[in-house]
Amino acid sequence: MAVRGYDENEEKKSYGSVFLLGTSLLVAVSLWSLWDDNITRRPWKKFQTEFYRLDYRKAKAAYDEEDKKLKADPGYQDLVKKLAAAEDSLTRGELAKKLKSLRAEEARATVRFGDLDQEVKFIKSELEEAWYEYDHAVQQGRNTKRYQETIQELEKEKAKVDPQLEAARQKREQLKEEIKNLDAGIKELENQLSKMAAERDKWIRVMENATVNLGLLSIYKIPKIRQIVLDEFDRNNFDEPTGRVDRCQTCHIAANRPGFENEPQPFRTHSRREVLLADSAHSPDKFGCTVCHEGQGAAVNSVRQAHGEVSYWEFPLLRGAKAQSSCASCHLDVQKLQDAPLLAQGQRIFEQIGCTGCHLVQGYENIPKIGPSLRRINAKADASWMVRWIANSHNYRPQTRMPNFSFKEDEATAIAAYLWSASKEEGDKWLEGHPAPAGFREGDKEMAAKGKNLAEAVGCKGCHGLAEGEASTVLGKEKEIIPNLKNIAAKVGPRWIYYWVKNPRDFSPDTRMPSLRLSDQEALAITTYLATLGSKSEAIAGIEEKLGDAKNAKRGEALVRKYGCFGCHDIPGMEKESRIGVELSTFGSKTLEELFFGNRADIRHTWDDWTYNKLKTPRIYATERIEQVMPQFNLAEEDIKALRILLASFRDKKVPSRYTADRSQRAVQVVEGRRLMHQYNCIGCHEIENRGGFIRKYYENPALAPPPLNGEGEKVQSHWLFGFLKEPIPLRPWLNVRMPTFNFSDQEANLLIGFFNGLSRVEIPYAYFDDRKVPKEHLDAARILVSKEYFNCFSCHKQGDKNPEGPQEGWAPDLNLARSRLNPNWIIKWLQDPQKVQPGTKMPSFFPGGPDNIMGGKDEKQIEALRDYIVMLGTKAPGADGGRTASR
Amino acid sequence: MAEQVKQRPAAVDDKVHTWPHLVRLEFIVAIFVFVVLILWSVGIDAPLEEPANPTRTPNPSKAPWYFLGLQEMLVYFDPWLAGVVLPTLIIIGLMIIPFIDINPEGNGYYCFKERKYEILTFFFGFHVLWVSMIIIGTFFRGPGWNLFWPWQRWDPHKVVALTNVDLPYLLGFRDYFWSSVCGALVVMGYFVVSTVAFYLWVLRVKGKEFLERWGLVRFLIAASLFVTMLSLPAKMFLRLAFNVKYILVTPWFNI
Repeated sequence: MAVRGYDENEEKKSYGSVFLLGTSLLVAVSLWSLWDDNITRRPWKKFQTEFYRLDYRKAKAAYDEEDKKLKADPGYQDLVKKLAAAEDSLTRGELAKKLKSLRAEEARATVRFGDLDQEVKFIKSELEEAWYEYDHAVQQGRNTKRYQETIQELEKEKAKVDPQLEAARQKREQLKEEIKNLDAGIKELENQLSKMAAERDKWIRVMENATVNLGLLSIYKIPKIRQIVLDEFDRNNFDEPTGRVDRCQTCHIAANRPGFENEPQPFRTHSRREVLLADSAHSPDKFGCTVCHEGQGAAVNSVRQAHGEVSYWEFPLLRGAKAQSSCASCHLDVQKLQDAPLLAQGQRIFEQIGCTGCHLVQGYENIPKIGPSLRRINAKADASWMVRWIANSHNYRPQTRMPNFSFKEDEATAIAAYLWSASKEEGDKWLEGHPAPAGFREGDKEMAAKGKNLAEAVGCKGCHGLAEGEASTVLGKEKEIIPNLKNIAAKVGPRWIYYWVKNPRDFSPDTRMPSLRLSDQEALAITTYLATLGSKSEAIAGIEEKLGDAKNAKRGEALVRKYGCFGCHDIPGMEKESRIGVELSTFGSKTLEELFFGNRADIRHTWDDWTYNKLKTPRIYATERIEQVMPQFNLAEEDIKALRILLASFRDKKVPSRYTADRSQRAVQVVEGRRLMHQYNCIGCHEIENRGGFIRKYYENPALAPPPLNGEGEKVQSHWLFGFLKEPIPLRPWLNVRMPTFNFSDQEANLLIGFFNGLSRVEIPYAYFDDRKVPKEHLDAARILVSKEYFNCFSCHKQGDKNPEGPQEGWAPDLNLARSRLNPNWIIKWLQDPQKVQPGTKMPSFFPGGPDNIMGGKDEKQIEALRDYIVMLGTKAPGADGGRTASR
Repeated sequence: MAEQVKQRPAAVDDKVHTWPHLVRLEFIVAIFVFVVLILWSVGIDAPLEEPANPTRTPNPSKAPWYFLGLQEMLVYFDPWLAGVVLPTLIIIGLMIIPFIDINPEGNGYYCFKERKYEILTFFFGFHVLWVSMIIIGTFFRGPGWNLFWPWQRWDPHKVVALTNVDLPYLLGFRDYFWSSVCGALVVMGYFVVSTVAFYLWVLRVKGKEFLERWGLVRFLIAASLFVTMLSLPAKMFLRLAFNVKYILVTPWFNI
C-alpha cells in the first residue's frame, strides 16, 4: 500500500544516466559558446598577435643591424671603454668612499627638509583656519581678541621655522650639486653614447611597445579593440546626428606607420601615407577609415562583416579606385586633388559631355547647354548633312560629343524637318541681312593658302583641329570638345563661314566661339580655305520637299520632345522644357532594387556592373515593353570607369562642416570659374594649373606661343585683368597668335578673376602702390641696373612704343604696362627667381649675384629698387592711372 | 454513498510530493532546454536588417510575428472587420468560455475523451486558424504581400494579376441597390443556415439533454461566435476558389 505523497517506484527510479548525458552536453555546449565568443567571433585577436610578432621581428632585425654597425664603430667602442673606466673609478677607492658618504648625507638632508617643509605647511594651514575664525567673529560682531592672539602666535612660529626650512633646502641643494660634480664625467659620456646609439635604441622602444613584460616572462601584447569615435559625423535616417565608430585599425594596425609598405594586408602601410594621412589632411585619429573607404566600421566579428560586404549593410568597402568617390563628400574642388585623378576626370567628362542636359544633379544645375544653338540652323547647315548627322552623328565625326540616338532615316528626316520649320523665321531674316561675301571665289588657291597660313597663325588651332588626328583639348580619352574642321565643307557653306569667323556672336549671341577680330580680307581668306576642307554633302533626293512637309515637322517635334534634344541645344519654342532624365543627385546611394536590369541575365546584379553597362550601352536594359531613350556616347573604357566613380560620389550624405575641406566662397569661385574656363577652352592655348596649352605643340619656339597662366592671380592686378578680359590688348604685339575677344559678361569676367585669385590664394585682390614713398636712391640705383652695363633689360622688354634692340623671338612685354598690370609683390618674387615662378621662362635670373657696387651689394635692396623703378616707369605712359584704361 | 467513497482510494493516492517527483524531472528537463537554448544562440544570429529609414520602408512591411495572423486576415476582410470587430470578438469569446462551457469534465486534470468537442473547437480556432495564419504571414508572404513558396526568391517586382470581383457582380448584379440587397441576403443567409446547422450538429453529438441544460442564450452566443469563426475559412475559400473580393459592399464597411 502506497503511502500518501510517496511513490516508491518513482523514488527508486534512477535518472543518473539521463543526468550525466544532460550535464555533459551542457558542459560541452558551454565550452563551445565560450570558444565561439572569444575565438571564432574575434578573429582580430589573431591578426593583432600576428602583427605584434611581425613588428617585434622587424624591430629586432633592425636593432641587430644597427648594433652590428655600432660594434664595428671604433669611436663607439672607445666611448664604451671610457665609460666603463669612469664607472670603475667611482665604485672603488677614495672617490667611492666620498660618494657614499655624500649620498648618505644627502639622504639625511632630504629627510630634514621634508620634516621642516611639513611643519611650515601645517602652520600655514592653521593660520588659514585662524583667519577664518577671526573673519567669522568680525562678521557676527563677536569679540575677536582671542583669534587675533592665535594669529599672532602662529605668525611668530612661522617666522621661526621659515629660515630653518631655507637653510635645510640650501644644504640639500649643495649636497646634490657635489654629487653631480662627481658624476659629471659619467653623465657626459652616457649622453654621447646614447646620442650615437639613438638609431639603434629607438628600436628598443618599438620592441617594448609590441610586448608586455611579466617579470622574467615577456609575451606579445594582449590584443585589444582599437577604435576611433567620430562625434556627430553621421546623420541617421531621422536626421539626428549620430557618432561613427571605426575599429578598422584593430586589424589594419600599421595603416599609419611607416615601414610596412611591403607587408601583406591587413598590416600594410596606407599608400601615400605622408600626404593622405598627414595631420593637416586626414589624420586617422580625426577621420578614421570609413569616412573614405566605407565598410562597417564598428564590426569586428569577421573580415566580411568588417568590410560591410554582407546583406543589409548599405555601404560596402570601396575597393581600389572607387575610394576616390568619397573625396567629393568633403571636397568641393575635386579637380585639384592629386590623389583622385579618376574622380576629377569623371567630373570633367560629366560636366562637358552633356550629362547635365538631361539629368539634374545638385551642384551641377547651372551648366549651360553644351550644344550649339539651333535657333537659325536653317541658315547654317546643309540639309542633307543634317539628316545624316541626326541619324548617326558618329559617322561624320567619330569623336564628337553629340551622342548617337540611333534614329532611323525617316525619324532623322522628321527631326530635321521640325528644326527647319522652327528656325525658318529667324534664319531667313538673318540670311536677308547677310548676302554672300563679295570677292569670294571658290577654290581660289592663292587665297586658300593665305587662309591656311592665317588660320594656323592667329590661333584657330587652339581649339579646332584642321586635319585628321589634330585636336586641341581632348575630353577623356578621345572626345573632342570643339569640332575638328577637316570635313567642314560637308556641313556649312562659305557664306555662313564668312560671317561666322568674322563675328560669331552676330549669328549666335550665346556662342562660346570668340572673335579673333579678323578683318574682311582675313575672314575671306579663311573662308576660302575652310571651304576647301572636305567636300559638299551629296544631296538626298527630294530633301527640300521632305523638310517642308508639315506632317514630318509635327512628327519631328514629338521626337525632339521625347529624346530631349533641348537638353543640349537651344531650340526655338522649347526654352522652358525641363530635363527628361532622372535626377542623379543621390545616384551613388541607389540600392539594387532601384536599378532596373530589364531582362538581362548576363549582367551581375551589383551597382558597379549596372552603371558600367548603362554607360557603355545606354539602352542595354530595354525590354520588349520598356523603351529606353538614353543615347550612345561611345565612351572609352577608362572614361566609363572615371564617370562611374563620379556617379558613385553622388551620395545622399551630409558631412558636418568641421570635417569638410574648404567650402568657402573662394572655393566655390574656383570651381565655377574653372567650369567657365573649360567652357571657353582657355586651356586650349594657355597652361592653367599645369594643364593645357595644347596649341604650344605647333610652335617650335615656345616664346611665340600663348603664355602659360599658372599663378596668374598672384601675378596681375585684378582690375587690370578685368579690363583685359573684357577687351584684350596685344600685350606681346610681336606674336601672330591673338588673344580673342570672348565678350565675357561682367559676371563671367569676375568669376574668372575669382578663379585665378583663388588658385593663387590671393587674399587681397587690390594693392595700392604709393609713389611718394619711393626713395630717390632706389630709382637712381635701378636706372644703373637696367642699363646696358648691367642687366640690359630693354634688350628684350618693350618700353612703350620703344621696341627692344634684341631679336624678335626674344622680345618680352612692355614694362610701361607693369604699373597697372603687375602686382608689385609679384615683381619682387619674379626678380628673385623667374624660373621658380615660371619654369622654362627665357627671363634670365640675376639674383643672387647682383653687382657689389650698387646699394651696398645687397640683393634684396637691388630687387626692391628695380621693382620701384619698373612700377614708376608707367607713370609717364599714357593712361597709366586707373585700372580700366590700362587695357585700352 | 459511503460505499462509493471506499471504492475510490486512488483519489487520495494520486497525489505525491513535489520533491522529488516533480522537481527532479523539471531539473533534468531544464538542463536539456538550456542545452538547446545555448546551441540556438550560438548557431543563429539575431536577424538585424538595415537601419530604419522613414523614406524607404521595408517591403513587405510586416507586423511583429504574433500579429501576422491579424495582418493575414486583412487580405480577406475589411480593416474594420479584420482589425477591430474580429479581434474584439476573439477576446470576448475567450473571456466568456467559462460561462458557456457547461461540461464539468476535465476540471483539474488533462483529458481529451471527455471534452472532445470543446477541445477540437479550440484546436480549430487557435491552431488551424490563428497559428496557421501566423505561419502563412511569416513565411509565405513576401514583397507586396504576395504569396511565395518557401523555395521561391522574394522578388520585389513580382506582378500578380488583380482579378477579384465582388460576389453580387459574379452573380450578375450590376446595379448598386440590388447588389447590396443580394450581399445582405447572402450574409444573413449564411448566419441563419450556419446557426441551424450548428444546432443540428450539437443535437447530434451532445444530445437533447445537453441542449436543454445549455439554454437558448448560451446556445445563441456560442453559435454566433462559432459561425463567425467559420466565416474566415468560408471567405478564404470564396477568395481562393472564385476570386471573390467582398460579399456585401456598403459605403461604410464591406464584408
